[in-house]
Amino acid sequence: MLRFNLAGYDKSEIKIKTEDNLITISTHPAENTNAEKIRLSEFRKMEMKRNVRIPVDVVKESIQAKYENGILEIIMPKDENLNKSINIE
Amino acid sequence: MKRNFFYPITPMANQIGTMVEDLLNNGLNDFFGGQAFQSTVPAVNVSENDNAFIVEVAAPGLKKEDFKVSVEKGYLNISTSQEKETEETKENYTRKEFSYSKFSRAFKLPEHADAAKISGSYNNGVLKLTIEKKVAIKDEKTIEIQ
Repeated sequence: MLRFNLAGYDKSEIKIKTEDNLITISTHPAENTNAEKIRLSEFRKMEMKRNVRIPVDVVKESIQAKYENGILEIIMPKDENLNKSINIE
Repeated sequence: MKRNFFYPITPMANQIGTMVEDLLNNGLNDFFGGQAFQSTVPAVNVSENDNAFIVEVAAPGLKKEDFKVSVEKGYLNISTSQEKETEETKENYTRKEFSYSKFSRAFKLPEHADAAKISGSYNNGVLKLTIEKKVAIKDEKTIEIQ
């Protein structure tokens, strides 16, 4: 499970893509057309990108993503069949 | 630029980590008292338009009810405390875990901010407070030079 702190981004501004064994998470903030005067800026929405390698035992088709309250959660279920204990006969 | 700030230390335990800044000046990243305690200081954006000041606090993973916003003696206080308790019962033992995280931050409100008119919303992990500006009382008199 991956957890990202993306406070301030809207779900529409986040893109998740898988390619081979890599999962790419990127943010694309919409243009801020607010004509507001900035007094203090400690966090800014930016174009960001991050790659994470998908472990071999993950079922790629079942990868899910949830975004709530600024936290993006990516759940990568493992293939149970790959982790078996083998009995010695 | 002349910096115009101060860092009062309040003896109350729940004020640990409080930062006091003047809304009209740039904020500072270091504060008196150090970070030896559990509380942290979240990132804040402050902007203004013609009608109001807007304070945004980046605090993901919380609920609207977790925040406590108050105005005291001209200071806007924003704090949160989140208690998490998990309990696990097995045959021989019960395991209980308790985690506690909080932050607290204060800002000096400028004169023309109306402390009675504050509204807030929590969206995408950002607490957005809108503090309306006091409506200017038109008290201008043109004095004729004779």
